[in-house]
Amino acid sequence: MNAHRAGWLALLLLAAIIAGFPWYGDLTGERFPTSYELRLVMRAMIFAIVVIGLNLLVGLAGLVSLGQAALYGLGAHVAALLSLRAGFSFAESMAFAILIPAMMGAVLAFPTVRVRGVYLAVITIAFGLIFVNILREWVSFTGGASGLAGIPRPTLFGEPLMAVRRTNFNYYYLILLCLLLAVWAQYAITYSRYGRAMRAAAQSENAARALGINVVAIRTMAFSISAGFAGLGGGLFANLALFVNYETFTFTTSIELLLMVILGGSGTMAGPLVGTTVLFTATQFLQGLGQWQTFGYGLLLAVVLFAMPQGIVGSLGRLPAWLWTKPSPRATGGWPNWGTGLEAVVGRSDARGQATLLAEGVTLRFGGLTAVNTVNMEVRAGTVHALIGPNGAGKSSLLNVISGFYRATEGRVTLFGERLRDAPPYALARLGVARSFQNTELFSQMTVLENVLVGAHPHFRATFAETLLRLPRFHREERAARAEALRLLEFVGMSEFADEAAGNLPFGHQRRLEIARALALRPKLLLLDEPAAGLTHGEIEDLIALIRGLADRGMTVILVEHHVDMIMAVSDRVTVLDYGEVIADGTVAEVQANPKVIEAYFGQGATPSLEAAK
Amino acid sequence: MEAILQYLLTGISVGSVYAMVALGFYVMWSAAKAVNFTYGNVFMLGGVLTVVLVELGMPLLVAAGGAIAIATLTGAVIERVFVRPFNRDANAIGWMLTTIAVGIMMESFATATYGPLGRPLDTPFMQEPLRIGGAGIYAQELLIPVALIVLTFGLEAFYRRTVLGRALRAVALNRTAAGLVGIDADRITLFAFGLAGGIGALAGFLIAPVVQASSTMGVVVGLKGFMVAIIAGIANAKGVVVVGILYGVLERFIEGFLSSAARDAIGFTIMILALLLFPQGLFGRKEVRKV
Amino acid sequence: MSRIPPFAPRRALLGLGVLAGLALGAAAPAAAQRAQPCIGASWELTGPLAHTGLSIRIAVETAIEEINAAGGVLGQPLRLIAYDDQGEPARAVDNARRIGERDNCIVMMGGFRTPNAIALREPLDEMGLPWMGVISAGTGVIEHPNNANRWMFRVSMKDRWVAPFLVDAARARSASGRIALVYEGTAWGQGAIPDVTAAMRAANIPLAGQETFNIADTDMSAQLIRLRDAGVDTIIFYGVDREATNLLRSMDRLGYRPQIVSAWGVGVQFAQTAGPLANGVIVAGTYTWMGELPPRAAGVLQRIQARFPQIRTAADIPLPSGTANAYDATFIIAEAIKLAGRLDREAFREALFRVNYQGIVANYAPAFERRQERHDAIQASAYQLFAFHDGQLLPIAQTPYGRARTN
Repeated sequence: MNAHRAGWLALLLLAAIIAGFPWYGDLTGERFPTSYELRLVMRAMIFAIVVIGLNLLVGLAGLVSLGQAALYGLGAHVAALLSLRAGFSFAESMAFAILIPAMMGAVLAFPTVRVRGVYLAVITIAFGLIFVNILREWVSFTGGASGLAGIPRPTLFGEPLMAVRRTNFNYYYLILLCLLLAVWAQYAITYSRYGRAMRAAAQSENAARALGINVVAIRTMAFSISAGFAGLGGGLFANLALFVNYETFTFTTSIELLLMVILGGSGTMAGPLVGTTVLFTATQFLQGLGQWQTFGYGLLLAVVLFAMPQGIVGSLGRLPAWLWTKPSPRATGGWPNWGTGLEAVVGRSDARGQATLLAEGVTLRFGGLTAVNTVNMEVRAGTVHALIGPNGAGKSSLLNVISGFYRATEGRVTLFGERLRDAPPYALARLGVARSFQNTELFSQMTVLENVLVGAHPHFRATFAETLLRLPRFHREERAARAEALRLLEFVGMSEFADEAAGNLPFGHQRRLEIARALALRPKLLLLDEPAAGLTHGEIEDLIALIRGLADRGMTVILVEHHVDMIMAVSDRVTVLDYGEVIADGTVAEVQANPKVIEAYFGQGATPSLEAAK
Repeated sequence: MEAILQYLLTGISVGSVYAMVALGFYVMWSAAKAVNFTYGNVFMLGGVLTVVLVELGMPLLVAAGGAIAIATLTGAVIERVFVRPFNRDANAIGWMLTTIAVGIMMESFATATYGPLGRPLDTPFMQEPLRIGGAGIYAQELLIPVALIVLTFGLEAFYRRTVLGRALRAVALNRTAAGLVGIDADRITLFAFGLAGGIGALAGFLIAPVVQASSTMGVVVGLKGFMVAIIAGIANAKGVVVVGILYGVLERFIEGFLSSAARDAIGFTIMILALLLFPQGLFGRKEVRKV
Repeated sequence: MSRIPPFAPRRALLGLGVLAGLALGAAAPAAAQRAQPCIGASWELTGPLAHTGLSIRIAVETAIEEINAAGGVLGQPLRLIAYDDQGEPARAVDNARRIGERDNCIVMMGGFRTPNAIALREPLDEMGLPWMGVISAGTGVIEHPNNANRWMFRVSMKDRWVAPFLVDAARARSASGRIALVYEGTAWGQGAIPDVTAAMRAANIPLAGQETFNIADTDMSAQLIRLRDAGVDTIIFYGVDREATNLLRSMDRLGYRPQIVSAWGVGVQFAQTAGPLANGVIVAGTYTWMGELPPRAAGVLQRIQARFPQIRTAADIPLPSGTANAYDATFIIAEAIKLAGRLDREAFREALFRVNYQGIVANYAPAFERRQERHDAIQASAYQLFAFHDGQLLPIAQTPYGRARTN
């Protein structure tokens, strides 16, 4: 809380210094600052706005854009063209300067549906180059390489906007206001379900989808917001320079913007401001190096990246913790802890006895390989249904069909009484299907608490605007989600680890966290993919108690597991798969006696005891 | 008809340069799952250093050999210093930024010392263009596709026949497993970047007589080479070469029949569409998404 | 990539402090009302266009040395404060602000690129800072919409005047009368289209082709094939050394050899890179330092060589016309300051219209007139044709290409 306040105080201080800057000369009687210094500060502020937007994209959503300058340029050209050619007012043209790039950003996000990483980088590079090519060659519209000169001086409420004493530096303050709003928006988005969802999608796309996050939508949103910021910066730039041409918005600028993000510390709050300031200031000072200035610029970058690989804020931010914080021993609680307040978690369950899941003739093929072959299966509400079989029998594939990750080649799946055709994982998650993963898929760079909060993502009702403005509903929901998340951590005995990065947890704790996170969805149907793998004997006992407890409270659990003791102890019903086909289905005892099962596990003539499979 | 032949000839020549650069990207990527993002500057070294060494009095081939050797070393140094420490996580992009930084340094160093203007590099193959059915091409330009073919097959043989090459493939397939069977993956990666440095410099040396050696000669070629490699599906050497040549030819045909001003806009749009249709690249293998 | 430290706001402190540092910046200069006797310059001193900055700087420094040796201006030495803009318009504007407000110079001098000059229109107007261009030849640099140009002057060529000059030269050499325009995709190149089109219309001949290329393009076969098929035998060219060389290579490949009549973007390096192919390429300009020089210019060249070791011969002056323009412009500035009698920008501007000066490029009598069209000091009558011959850029009369083609 204290650190929180210090951050805002620092921001306030900065704002005050920037705000007082134009009047500095009045105090000292000097001819300073001149319009030269004011222009530099204004350009730095505009850059910072664009960089904040890019930070949301790179730092939160994990999408690297090497074409951000094009969106910046798009905003600048929209503003310039609308006021020059269509006579739009400043406010109108600025609105479009934000809106049109934001829409373009949404279009740019489309490729992320299909490609990531360097492939996406190439698409954004290509986009930037295409944009510049069009600007340069569409002479009649964009003025070609000469650009657009003579943009009319903007006015707001009849006042000309310019950074001179005569107008009380009004344009300077307008830019400062935009910067502060951008900082606020960055904060409001980052520390909300939107920010968490963006980071979740970046750190484990599969887990995010399984937790009800529409990954495509959240990435589109990230791209759009970031492009909107770029457009805002562009519009402000056009109205500052009153001249735009393609050269301000080339690939080099895109690189520079990305460098500012990384240099400051991507994903941090202060990173964009620090990165922009350092790089922008450095560019000015490096001019003293003459023909070696660009070399010095490269050298500086290299040195900073070496010394502070997490960026200035990211790396320095770790210093205090590293210097002063001693790792305190933390106690792992016992689990499950059936405390009060957990009712909501199991409150959505289907009526007992109803078929929660009905699979009919489900077949899944990869090319020529049939992973799942005409499987019929019924899972009743409030039961624990085990899915077993030798390795490669198709258990996980079936689980992936049920949770929507794979699309069944044939057959149909009915969930909660509804026939669901090709519903994506996030939609199923919202309906009440939660799952864990065979190899845990945590959001490793988020804290334990944040991991659980991501699970609560679908329960939020506050709109984006409410979130941005921090209206009461946002606070109410955020508090409730936090309380429930803490209860779930208590439930799995991990309260003391709430602020630990998930990636630092020992394996057993990761399993527990994954279950707590899945439960945050308040699922009706919980799919557990080998939850006991890697757990100690004691932990397995606890896990059994947990699963049984959930089922007793009405939740339906499908359990894929090799651990026979556990299956025997916990399952109401067992389905056995072999080579993708159901070879047995029934109670534990029935299945145990089934000769086909024995054959599948041990080959012909083996000892007819499943016990030995241990 | 004559025009089409001309576009084909110059297209293949320019495309071979893209292909060679893309091949360098392929070599780096397969070993490290990272590249020298400003590889164009290593390409530039091939042209510029050859000119400098020739001006110092060396015979052309010796100068070229020297330039390629220096570029090889540079490539390896870049891997060791700027890529390896920044490529530890699976999704790291640190290497992208550090190699951009080193690229800025290389280009500005060249501009400051060598000068901003292009300089000629005389070779016997630039005196008179060869006439082929009404179209013309310098012998020097034909050297490039020839070198590319030799290089592609040489690389193929190297990857298949030699111990080092097999080790490279092993690292490309599975770095951890390669380590387990005793291959020093770091060393192999270093070697791959050196090899790529040599390939880039060779391309730069071969094209310099045609386009003049200048400190900025690698910028566009480097970027296009990278894009070509990605479009092709960067893990497939032959695909990279084919797409490189095709892109060079495509550019000439766009210039010839659509617009020379909007060549890049059209070409890059086609690239984006290709990537959207084939997200793993035209020749990339589709990875089954494992959940 | 994604990483939000739990207590991120604390780190805001850091960043914000640094931005504040920028705001407080360096120490402030002393208050000043009167302008300083300095020429503030924004040139391409580094980066890919560094040769253009060099071409200007050598002339201006040499001229200032001469002026100060003769007593300076108004009893004070004239100073040069040169900033680098690397060819970027945004930096040129930064520099203009610095020159106009921080350094408070009486006049600003511009560099090579036309967009850098165009970007200055508004800030110069706002500051009331006179500007003197020495290369950037775009028509729009001086001729603003609505005759609004108050502060921008130029001692250089103007494309609207260059175009008829090139068209005349092209007509005199074209056998078929089929003349085409080939231009680079920059502000300067694109800006030439209306000028050349108008000049062709005035000469009553249709433009037989119009082609463009991008900076760093290496192959221009497509453009040339279209021109060849259109029967073009003379090309009016707007481009610079590297692309000019690549154009000639492409011509050589095709075996198609139209006469090139080029605007002055092509400098002396072209003779090196294009080798024998450069022979016969005609370039318009204001000056060349090669061949036989009048005594005064020879003296200037000597002083340049003495002052700048990197200029060994005239072949090391990359843009000879730019160097000559800059030399004359510096003297015109000094004369105007003297005429103004005080260091006042408004008075300086007024004085520019009264300067009479015999320069090495032209006799400026007067240097400027009040019509914005005549904010250009060098008139078309002073334009010259040069031709490349055996590695030299020579006045066309000193080459075998002097005579217009007759048929």
